[in-house]
Amino acid sequence: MKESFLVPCARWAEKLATKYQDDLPYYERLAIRNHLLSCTACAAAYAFYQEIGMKLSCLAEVEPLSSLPSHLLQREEHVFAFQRRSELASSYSRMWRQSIMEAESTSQELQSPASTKSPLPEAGLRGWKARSIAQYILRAPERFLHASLTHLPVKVRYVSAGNNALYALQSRNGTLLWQYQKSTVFFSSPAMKNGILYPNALDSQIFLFAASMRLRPCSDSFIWKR
Amino acid sequence: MSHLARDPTLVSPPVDVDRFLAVVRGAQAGNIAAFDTLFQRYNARICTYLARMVGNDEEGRDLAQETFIKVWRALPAMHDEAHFDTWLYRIATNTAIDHLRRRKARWPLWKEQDVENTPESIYIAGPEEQVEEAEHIKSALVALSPQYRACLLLQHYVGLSQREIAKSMNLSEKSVSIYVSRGCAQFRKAYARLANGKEAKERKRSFK
Repeated sequence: MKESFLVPCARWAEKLATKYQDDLPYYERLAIRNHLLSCTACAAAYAFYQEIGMKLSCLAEVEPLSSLPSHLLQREEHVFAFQRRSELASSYSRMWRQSIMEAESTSQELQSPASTKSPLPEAGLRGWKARSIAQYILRAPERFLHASLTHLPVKVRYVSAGNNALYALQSRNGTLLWQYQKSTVFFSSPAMKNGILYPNALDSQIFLFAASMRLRPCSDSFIWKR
Repeated sequence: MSHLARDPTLVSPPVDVDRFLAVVRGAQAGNIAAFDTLFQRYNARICTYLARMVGNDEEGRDLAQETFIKVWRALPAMHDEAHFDTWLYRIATNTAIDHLRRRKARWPLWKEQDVENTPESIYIAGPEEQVEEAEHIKSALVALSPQYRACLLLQHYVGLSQREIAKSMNLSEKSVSIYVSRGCAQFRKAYARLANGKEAKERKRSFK
């Protein structure tokens, strides 16, 4: 179908359709004004665009529904309270890290044992307690959690950290049960099922070992390895 | 060349910014009364925007409800309270575009109102010019592709600047300005076609 109007110049077409001062710098607006004086096609298009703007801005309003049914919101809130809770849980690890970093910058006491001798006992010791999970894992800044702590009702959490280590921590109070160091980096939290731990090593080694709350993995506890 | 700083007729009445932010934060914290204030403030505009997006008043109303429920869910995750309306229109636009896609998938034979063969009844039924013109505008809008339509409506009906549109549609400013201009051009064509069709029919009628 043949158009009944002239097509505006390609160079200006885009700028003609702007409406607000924010959309175009001042010198561009001046340039357009000058151009409109000489070009009929652009002037016609510009006039039409202005008209469209006017027409669209006074579109008849659709009669809206007066209110949202409040029971919908109530239910939504109920459902999403759970979601918010789990978001909170995953943000804890970040908060811990931050607070520990701050503590580190102020106190030397926290920094020294990490660098010289690991204060963490080799075997899983029952009585070894501390204030929080973060104080164990995040003592040195280069160690950081690779995975968020999942918000699950488990007794023991297995956590991988940036310093090539796996940690088993008691959920209730953050007590370190054992840690396991290896030459490869572990990423994402290991899975635990029926006393077998399935960690993810970054060098694509696959191995499983027997572990539990009291049982610290050692070279004997490898069940399967590839 | 009149460029408005902001169209005074479009932007919703000025409010105390601090109070508005307080209301948004209240809604974010889960206060239903605060959310209701926001709802009352934006409801009519969102409703009309969505109705024009999907080309049907009834669907527009439903989508507005859906949008506000989505907003209620997503509020706790929103970071930038100062740009609440940009964010709100982003959700509304996504809802509308999703709906159009779904409608197409579910009813592949669904036909948007055909611009070239608009039923004659419209022309005969609307004795007043204004009604007719409103119908033209609606059908010309339906003829645009959804992205262009959203850009046009956001610029002219909602009154956002192109930067805000870019933010709310997750596009670059450059592509928004291209979309707006193409949208305008398409709208112009569709509108001219409708007007021509009307004239042709009037001519036919006068010959009879």
